[in-house]
Amino acid sequence: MKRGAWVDSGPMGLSHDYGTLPNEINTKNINESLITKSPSTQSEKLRVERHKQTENKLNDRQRLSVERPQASAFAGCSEEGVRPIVNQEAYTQPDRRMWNPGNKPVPQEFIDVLLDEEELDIDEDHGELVEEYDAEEILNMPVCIAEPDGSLFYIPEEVHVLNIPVDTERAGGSPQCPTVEMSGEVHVLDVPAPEPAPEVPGEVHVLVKSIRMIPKNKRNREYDLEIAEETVDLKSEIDVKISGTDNRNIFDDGLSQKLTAAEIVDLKSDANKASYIVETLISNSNTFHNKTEFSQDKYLRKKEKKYFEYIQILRPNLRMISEILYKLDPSKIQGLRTDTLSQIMTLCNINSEGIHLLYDSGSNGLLAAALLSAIGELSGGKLIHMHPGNMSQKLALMAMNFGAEQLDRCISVNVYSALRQYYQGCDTNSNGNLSVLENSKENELKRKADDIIGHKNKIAKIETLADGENNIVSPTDSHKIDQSEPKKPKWHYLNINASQLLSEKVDSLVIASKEDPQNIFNELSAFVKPGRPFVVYYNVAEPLQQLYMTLKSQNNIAALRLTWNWMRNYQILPERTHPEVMMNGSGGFLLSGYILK
Amino acid sequence: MSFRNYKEKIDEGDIVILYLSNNLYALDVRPEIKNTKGDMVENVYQTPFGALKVRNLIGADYGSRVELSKGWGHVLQPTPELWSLTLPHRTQIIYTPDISMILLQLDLIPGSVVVEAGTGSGSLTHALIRRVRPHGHVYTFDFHEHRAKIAREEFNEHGLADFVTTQHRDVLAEGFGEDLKAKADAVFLDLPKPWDGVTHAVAAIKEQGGRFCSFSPCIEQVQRTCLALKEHGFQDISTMEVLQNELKVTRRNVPVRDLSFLKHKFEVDKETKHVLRPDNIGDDLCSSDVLEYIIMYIIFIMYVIPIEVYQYSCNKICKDLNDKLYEWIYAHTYIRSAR
Repeated sequence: MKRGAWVDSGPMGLSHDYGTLPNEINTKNINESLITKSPSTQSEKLRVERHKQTENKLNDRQRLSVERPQASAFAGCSEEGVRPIVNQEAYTQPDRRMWNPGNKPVPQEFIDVLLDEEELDIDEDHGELVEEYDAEEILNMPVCIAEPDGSLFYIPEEVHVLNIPVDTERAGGSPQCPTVEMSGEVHVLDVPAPEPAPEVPGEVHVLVKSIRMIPKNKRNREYDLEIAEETVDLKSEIDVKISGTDNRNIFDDGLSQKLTAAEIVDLKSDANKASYIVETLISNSNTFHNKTEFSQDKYLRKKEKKYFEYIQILRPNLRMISEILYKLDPSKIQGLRTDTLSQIMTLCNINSEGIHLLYDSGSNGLLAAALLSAIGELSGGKLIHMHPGNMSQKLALMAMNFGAEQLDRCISVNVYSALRQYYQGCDTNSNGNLSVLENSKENELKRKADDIIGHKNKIAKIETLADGENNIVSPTDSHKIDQSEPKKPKWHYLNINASQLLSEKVDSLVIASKEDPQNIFNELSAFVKPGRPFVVYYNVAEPLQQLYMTLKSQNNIAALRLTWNWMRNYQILPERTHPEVMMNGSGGFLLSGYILK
Repeated sequence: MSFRNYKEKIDEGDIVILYLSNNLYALDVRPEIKNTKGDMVENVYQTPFGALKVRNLIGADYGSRVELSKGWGHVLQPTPELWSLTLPHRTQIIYTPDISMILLQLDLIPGSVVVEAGTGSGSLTHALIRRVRPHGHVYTFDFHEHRAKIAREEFNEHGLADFVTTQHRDVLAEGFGEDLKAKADAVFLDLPKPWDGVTHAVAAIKEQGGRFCSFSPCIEQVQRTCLALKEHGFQDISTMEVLQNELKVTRRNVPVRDLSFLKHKFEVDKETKHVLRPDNIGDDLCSSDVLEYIIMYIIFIMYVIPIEVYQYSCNKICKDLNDKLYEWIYAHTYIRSAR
């Protein structure tokens, strides 16, 4: 069962992301026994410190931030903080509770915290791998909120509260669900209790129904949710009788709306229906009826977005997650646009078979999510996900809501540890045959480590202090080891696993780095089987130019191509078809080719 | 069978991709082929770098170098992308940039069931199969009986028959059939009148919903399809265009012209004949005449869609042409081919 399986993947949850928030648990309506106990004091301290840091940062941002429509993508998350672990039973119990009973405008900042993983990632002590593998971890269940015009929002929340039975009768000619525009404020969603229909194992509920938001307490932006049998759009609710022919008699003198700003605010908070607000606005407008039919239509569509009443809750998939992350802030995913992402997957021939190697620094797990989604469930394919920090960026990967079986086939390892394991076989317990020592390469690697983050000192410390069994466990880890003496941390086994897979050689290589890709490519391309494809992504062309020149001068690369994409969306409406006005020019660059023997 | 799994070595019957100085060729690994008289003769593949004895490929590693009489090349295992570039064209095909977007927009993952019309040359079909296997299935339809037959044989030869069902059927007239009712996660149409196929697509899509994609060269087709989709209650309709541009990178020496020295008077030492610099200048004088740059420029933009449209209208005019028009067409076709 998909959803239940999720629970088991606890340790891989968005632990440290939530770790940046105060460690208070909202116990409301949640079975006590299911709540996460706070982790060891050490990491708790770490969390608190980080929280302070992020808080300062947030304050800065708050000052700067303009109201962004995506902000309430995280409706439901608040400073209330760490989500409790919800056990499998929780899914079967009808659970009526509030999301985010706070009313502070948190979300955009929260998103920033979530996406700011890189900061935590790189500056941390190399050996300190505590947080990633805290056994009891915070779990969430992501869903996407969608609106028909293609805008999507992502809520990292337990979806079981939204377990809406699927109506098997699909309304053939149902009108289009109106647009949902989250207007930058927290919306408290009081979600209807799941229907008593028990979940059938293996059955996946597809939440395609539209849900109507009924204002409960407008000032606090609380809404009751109700499954809408039928959605009505503003245009059909508001009957516009008169239209003008052109705009020759319309003047922008600021006098066309008779209502004052204060009156409109009151109207917004008092009215229950969007159509009522808009109708009042129209009837008090001097100019509306002089506008052309198209112009009126556009006005209504705009207002529909503003005073949306319906939302849809969907199972997340790659298309949505990629779109959401790109819309939120392209720089957080290295400017990796949807079209470029889709091409990485095809150019590297990612499929349900084979071992695929990914080096990713700074796409917040989007690439890992993409590759793993193409590798699929219950298939033989494996993904080695290498990252330079001490924990991988997993935001997008977690958001995809993969089953445990699928998620387990993504082996996330620190690039240094995995390669050291491969070349030096650091661990004394591992099979001796793994240690293939290649001095030259290791030296190179160490130089690289020096150059990038000056990890060498830390590495050295770990190596000298550690003895025997706890060979690669850092001293800062020791309290953890004391608790579970014979048990090795999970990453220890992941490293062994990864180095085993590397020794089998891989079927494709994807690199999307913040660093200059040259050295990384040189090291990792050695693991690629001859005749297999690679793709290097970078958000500007220059580093790829350099790499292109280097690879051209070698004779072991075939079909080397440096490409970039141009993508444009179109508005298709009768007599109003045109390319969309806003077009994002930066989708990143791809260097692709095949590695030869 | 080289499409089915990753392989290390070339077997008889595989399709391999020969890579020769930036050119790709697909060749069938058969030691012997029939000549025009119907006799079996040694299979020798002629390349710009001389002849290749296909027999020698059997047992070679993929990715390895093969010797030709006047040079060498490399052999690659075909992927749907390499196949798109080398396949025998029976129709206009969809290329990788569009294929990638289609796969993503259709939300395809291993296990999905996808319906495609028409099959054409099978460029997209190969990519669909790669994405949905091992648990998923592709149903592909073409109204051209011969094309459907060739495609079916091709999938068999490529070892993909388990994952694809090829049918000869005019889906706009007959729909996708009873068997596919409420079975598909996604429907893809590449047809001249996709709006007529929307009803059939709705019938084929699973009850909990699914994705629909139509690929059209003309905006009028898109408009009509969008209206039909709205009528049938589709949501999240979006229209997009993707172009992939390739960049060429070269190293070039760029001459440097220095003009700053003209500001100062130079004197020549009478004995040594050396130019004496005034003290207040020096470093701003450029020391070298040439700077080396790595230069990147666009080598081509794939205007696939506009060319398609153009060819179509061009052919139409040709039918009732007069002499003047002929000149006009000639001039324009010339420009097109130059591009």
